[in-house]
Amino acid sequence: MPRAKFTKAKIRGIVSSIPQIEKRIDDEKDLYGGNIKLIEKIKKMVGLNVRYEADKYTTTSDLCENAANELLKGTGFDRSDIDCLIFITQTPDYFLPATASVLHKKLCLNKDCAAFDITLGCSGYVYGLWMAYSLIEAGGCNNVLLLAGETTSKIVHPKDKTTVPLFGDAGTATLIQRTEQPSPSSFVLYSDGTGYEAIMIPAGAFRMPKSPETAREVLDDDGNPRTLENLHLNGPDIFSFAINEVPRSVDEILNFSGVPKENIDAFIFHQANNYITDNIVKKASLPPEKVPLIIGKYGNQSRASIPTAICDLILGGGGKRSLTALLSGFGVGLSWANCIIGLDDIYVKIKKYEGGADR
Amino acid sequence: MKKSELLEEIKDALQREQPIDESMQLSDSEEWDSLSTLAIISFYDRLFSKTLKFNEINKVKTVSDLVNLASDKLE
Repeated sequence: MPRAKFTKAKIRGIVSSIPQIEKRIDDEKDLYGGNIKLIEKIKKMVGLNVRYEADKYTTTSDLCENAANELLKGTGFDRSDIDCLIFITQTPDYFLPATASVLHKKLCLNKDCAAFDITLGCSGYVYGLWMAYSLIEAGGCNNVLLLAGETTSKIVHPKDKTTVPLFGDAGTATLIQRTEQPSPSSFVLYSDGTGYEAIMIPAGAFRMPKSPETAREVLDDDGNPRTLENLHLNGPDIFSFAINEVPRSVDEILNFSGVPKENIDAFIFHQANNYITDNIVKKASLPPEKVPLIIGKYGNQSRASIPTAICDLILGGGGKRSLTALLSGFGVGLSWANCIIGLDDIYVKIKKYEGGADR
Repeated sequence: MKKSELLEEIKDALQREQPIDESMQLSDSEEWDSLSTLAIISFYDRLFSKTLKFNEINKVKTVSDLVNLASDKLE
């Protein structure tokens, strides 16, 4: 199992950029055939309420660019000192080049800078941190800009009620820097490729290229339309995976790090849905008051949900800006990863994205 | 666990007011939706340490089918 402890890297700041279009599940009665009772059940059990969607001109990279510029401005950091840019998404601008190259240009970064994409979903933020901390610990980089975001609204079928109300769009930027003052962190990472079909867009790449057949709408047993070019989500299998593997992995990161459970100030899980989080929290015997839930404010933002939750927690946290946090990302792949890191007086902001239609 | 207790758990998972019996057709019931499926998976995991998969849940047509998924755990 990949396990790692680091001391030389720490987060300087995080910004989350939230797109333009506000959506409320209360306004989507038509999607549920007017079934108000079902909407109330979803709100109560899953926690859905408000989410934000990018307009048709705005991509994930636009949101991440916006977040990165705000982060560099807010921290007063000189962009020419960034020596690595990592972009994590499953909604890139192009098949090729890597969207990291596009962002490298738009952010006017130095040529002395590594830039690459990582294609991971809800585990992606923790994987990205692990990569950034590894690069700094090994001595190859000093200042890593980690951009993680998703515009899932663009890959769901607009009438699929199992996915449309669940996912919110967002782009985040995190600056990770070398620190002379030791900052202990621990990571554990996992994969189970036997579950690769559990969350999937079957068509559109090279295994199953787009064709008239892949664009044909098919109704599932509950009457949800979907094409092979849309996101498919096997809810029951994902749920079983999450409530089995994640609590076990939380125990493992606590044991590996040696940090007592009571010393963790916040257990920040990927905001998949509140029912999943509740089950994980109960099974791992965690104090619910230390587990932020933000899906009702933003929807499931995929790999952007953990950094947004950190921002939301610190901004609303009554002034406590230094905390020890356990982060846990899990989902498509299947892939999951946890870390325990110190968040020491970091710069945070949640910013409304105001670009879009003119791009 | 007694079968009557299991039926009570299933009723809770369905968030159903009226009593249920084994012959009840779930596919005709408005309470049988993707959320009740998650609730069923949750309590099978919690009470029986049993991981239900989509293929098993998808075959369920009646309450009796759900009971049968835990038949080895009943008194």
